[in-house]
Amino acid sequence: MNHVDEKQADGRIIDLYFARDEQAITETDRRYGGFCLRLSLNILEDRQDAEECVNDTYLKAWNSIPPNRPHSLRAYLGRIVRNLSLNRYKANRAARRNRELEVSLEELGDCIPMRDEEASALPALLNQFLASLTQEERILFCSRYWHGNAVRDIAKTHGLTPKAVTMRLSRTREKLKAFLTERGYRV
Amino acid sequence: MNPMLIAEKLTDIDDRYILESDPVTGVILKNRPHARPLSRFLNSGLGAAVISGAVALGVLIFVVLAGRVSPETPPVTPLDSTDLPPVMETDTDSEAVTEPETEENTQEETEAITEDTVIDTPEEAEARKDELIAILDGLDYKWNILNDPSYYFDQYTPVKAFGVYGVPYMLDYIMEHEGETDAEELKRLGVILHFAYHNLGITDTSEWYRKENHFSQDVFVNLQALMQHLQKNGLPSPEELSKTKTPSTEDAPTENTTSNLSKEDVYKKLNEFNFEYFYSDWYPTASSISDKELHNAFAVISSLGVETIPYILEYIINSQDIYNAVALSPNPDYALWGEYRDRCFLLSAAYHMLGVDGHYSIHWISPDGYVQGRDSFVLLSQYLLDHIEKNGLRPIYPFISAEEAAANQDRITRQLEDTSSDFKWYLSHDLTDYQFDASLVTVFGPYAVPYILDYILSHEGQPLTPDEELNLGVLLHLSYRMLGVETTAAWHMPAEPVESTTDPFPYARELAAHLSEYGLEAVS
Repeated sequence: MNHVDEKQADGRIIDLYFARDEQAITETDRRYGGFCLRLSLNILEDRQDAEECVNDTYLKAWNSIPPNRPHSLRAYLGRIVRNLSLNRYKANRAARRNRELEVSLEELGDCIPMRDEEASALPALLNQFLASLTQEERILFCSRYWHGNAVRDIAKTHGLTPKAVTMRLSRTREKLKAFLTERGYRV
Repeated sequence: MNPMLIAEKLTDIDDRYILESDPVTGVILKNRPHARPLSRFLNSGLGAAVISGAVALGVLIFVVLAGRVSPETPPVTPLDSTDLPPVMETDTDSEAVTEPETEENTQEETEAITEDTVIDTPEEAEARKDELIAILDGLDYKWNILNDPSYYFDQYTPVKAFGVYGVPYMLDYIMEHEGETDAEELKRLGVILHFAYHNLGITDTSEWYRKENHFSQDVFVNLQALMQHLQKNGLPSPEELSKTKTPSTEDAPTENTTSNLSKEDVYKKLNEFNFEYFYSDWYPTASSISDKELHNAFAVISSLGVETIPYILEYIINSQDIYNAVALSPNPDYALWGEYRDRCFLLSAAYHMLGVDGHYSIHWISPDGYVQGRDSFVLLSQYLLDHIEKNGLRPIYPFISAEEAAANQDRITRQLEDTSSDFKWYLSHDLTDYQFDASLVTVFGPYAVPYILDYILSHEGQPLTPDEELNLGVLLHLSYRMLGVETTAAWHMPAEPVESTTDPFPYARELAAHLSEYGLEAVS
């Protein structure tokens, strides 16, 4: 499905939300259920927990559309499910850790020399940083740290070796660190 | 920073980056030509020559960069004069529409071709024709054809960077091979010919490559057709290009162009222009499109000549019904979006022809091909047209001096009042930075900031509705943005709406205190 089709389909689903038609949830699940579940599973590694997060995502979408009219339903739902999954992961973290996620968080933590109280500036800085990257660097970075994909899966998707992906991610993290340091951020 | 906090903040990156990297909707790197195995390229037989050239070019770039002072990246905070966006030359009309010959421009000519490279002048195409020839020599056409060619031709290739001005050299290259009988070589030339058409915005050549035989049979026949096309559209043939002295960049644009197109000619060309091609891979590969694709597309429109701008603007203004149907309707007819988008594109192209490639004109077209916000392209076209009539060919925005901003204070205030109602719409949508770039307010430029602050502060102490408070908060955000400070977006994120919506006045005073650093003064 190309972007025009997706945009049209999104428009129809969002119209259902606006009409308070519960078919909106069914359509959302049909189109984006797999996407949301995959995102949540990448964080939680537990199908039952992930499914609950996805259901909560639909509820949040139902309660926030309207008034919101998302530009991209995929990204909108992705943000919700990611936030819900991270919250649940924090609650479960002591009992059950996702090693892949922990490694990726550690990688990110090492290259972001900012204090907690500076966190509100981070999204805008990340957007600036991502805009400065090549498309390839950006895709690999977001696949790993936003979508939470494992290196081996990224390598498989993009026809690269895991070693190549690891090296490119490492270089991109170094760039991020330099980018933030240049802007005066220090721990 | 706590890693979980980082993960949470990362969630709020732009939609375009989320979509671009999604395995379903995004870009898969292995389908891109540059991601193919190097061995396949080397097996083409021409790889070694190209690699040698690339190494030499790399050495050259290294030498150039070694002598170059690393550009300072302006700090986000505290405010600093380097945050100021660039402003246009102020002296004469002709200077306002021509690029100043800066060191940066000179360096650009020596940088390697990348996806961001845009060659949009005949001079630059001439200067870089050897690179183009090396690229053509190394074209891995077998890979192109074996894979889905219709898909491939819409993907990035360095040939695209040369745009319309590379076409004469591409034709020259093909003609040098006339008399060639080797079938494989003829296929390669056929692929190059196809690219030449694509660079001109003509994409209905698909029949050629759907059947492999057509490559060898039709290449020179089609070449003649393309030559005629160049001639018809006022573009130079390879021979003419080599004979004609390239125009000086110091000349006024009206002297650089020779367009004799009538209004009817322009309308006809615009009606026939294949806009869709330039949008084809915009979504969701957002950030890769802005310069390259737009500028290549602009080059095609620019070939009409700056004298045709009034006709182009009139063409847009005549689309008031489309604007009304799409931009002002809560539930617009989806089919009209494309036409709406095309008009916005044309308006950006018109500004581009006048030498204005500011963020506002680019971002009228959003990275995913849809119009951001509800800025009236009709209104903006009328502004530009009025300005052209009054002052000759010179862009109206941004205001280029404090005096000019002061002289237009009424217009600024009127604009603030007129557009404030749109802010609620902005904020009810996806709240990312680039939403704000489209605002009619930001196009005023930094010298308008004192008047905007004055407008905000004039509301202090008055009873305000929540919507009015919200609008003032957004205006404050936009004021910062006009001074180059873009880290205020967090104010407008849903999680933290309080700061911008309930009390913008302390922030306005804080910003006013910084104005002196820019040589500006708060009005009140």
